[in-house]
Amino acid sequence: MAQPIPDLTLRDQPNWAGAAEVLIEGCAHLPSREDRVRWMERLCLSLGDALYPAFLQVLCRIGEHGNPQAQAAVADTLVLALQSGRLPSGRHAAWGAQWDAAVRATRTMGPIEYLCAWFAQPDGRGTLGAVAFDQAARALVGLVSHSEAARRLYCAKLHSVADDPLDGAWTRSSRHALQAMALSWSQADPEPYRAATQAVEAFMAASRHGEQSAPDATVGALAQGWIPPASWR
Amino acid sequence: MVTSSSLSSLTGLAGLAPRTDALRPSLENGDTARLFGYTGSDAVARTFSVPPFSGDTPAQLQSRFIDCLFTRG
Repeated sequence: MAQPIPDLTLRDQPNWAGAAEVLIEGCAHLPSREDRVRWMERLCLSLGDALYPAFLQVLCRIGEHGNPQAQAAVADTLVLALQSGRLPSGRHAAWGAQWDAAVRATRTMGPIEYLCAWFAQPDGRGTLGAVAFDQAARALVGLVSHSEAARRLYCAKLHSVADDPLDGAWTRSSRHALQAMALSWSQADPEPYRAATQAVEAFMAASRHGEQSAPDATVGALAQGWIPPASWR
Repeated sequence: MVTSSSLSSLTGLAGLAPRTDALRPSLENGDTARLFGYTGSDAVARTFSVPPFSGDTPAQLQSRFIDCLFTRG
């Protein structure tokens, strides 16, 4: 298992485009699909949880600016990663907890769930605004949509997350929004950009509906959506 | 600068990894997303295509990726 490289410092002006091209090269040219997944997994682990948003940003750049062949190379790599449970993942605090890599109240999440949690359930590392979320999520969903197999597998993953109330990572309203995104995505237009737009709009609409259903963010109202993890009960 | 250590200290691991970081105040003001490039704006960028294979090993590719984004030590 790869360990995080110690003392990495984000550059003042990171070369996101350069990193994106390296990621595309690895996904397109390493000898086998297994080699590509293993490489991507080790790369992500080498950054550690705190710098996972940087890896995610590179995926977003590819989703925004990659041509169809480049996006397909990355999406095809994600297929095997999804099939084998090695999707590059980061840790986000469980709902109601503060982010702390040293404690158990964090949950491992794939790229799309991570963005959704960062937006819908900020955990003390600062919020992800609606405009930034919309742009990043559309880029990621569009990227994955360049492989029909990746889209199908990721939709199933989102459904699985949304259907698990005991995980403790998500509020009820967030799970509802994830469910709406997965449903929309699975039925969306096959064109990746339109599929992404429809899926992210479904998530945003469901999120807004959830907020309107509980306008008073009292502890009681918030707690309605939360079921303690099994280990806490 | 954003470091793994500075983010850890921001979020509860300060006792384990104390570190002075010039950008910690802005991180504490919720700018983590912006520092990682989540600005919501359409930056002018070139289109990425599949580059020719450099012949690099996985370790070399990893090193190139990291050097694009981070400094070490």
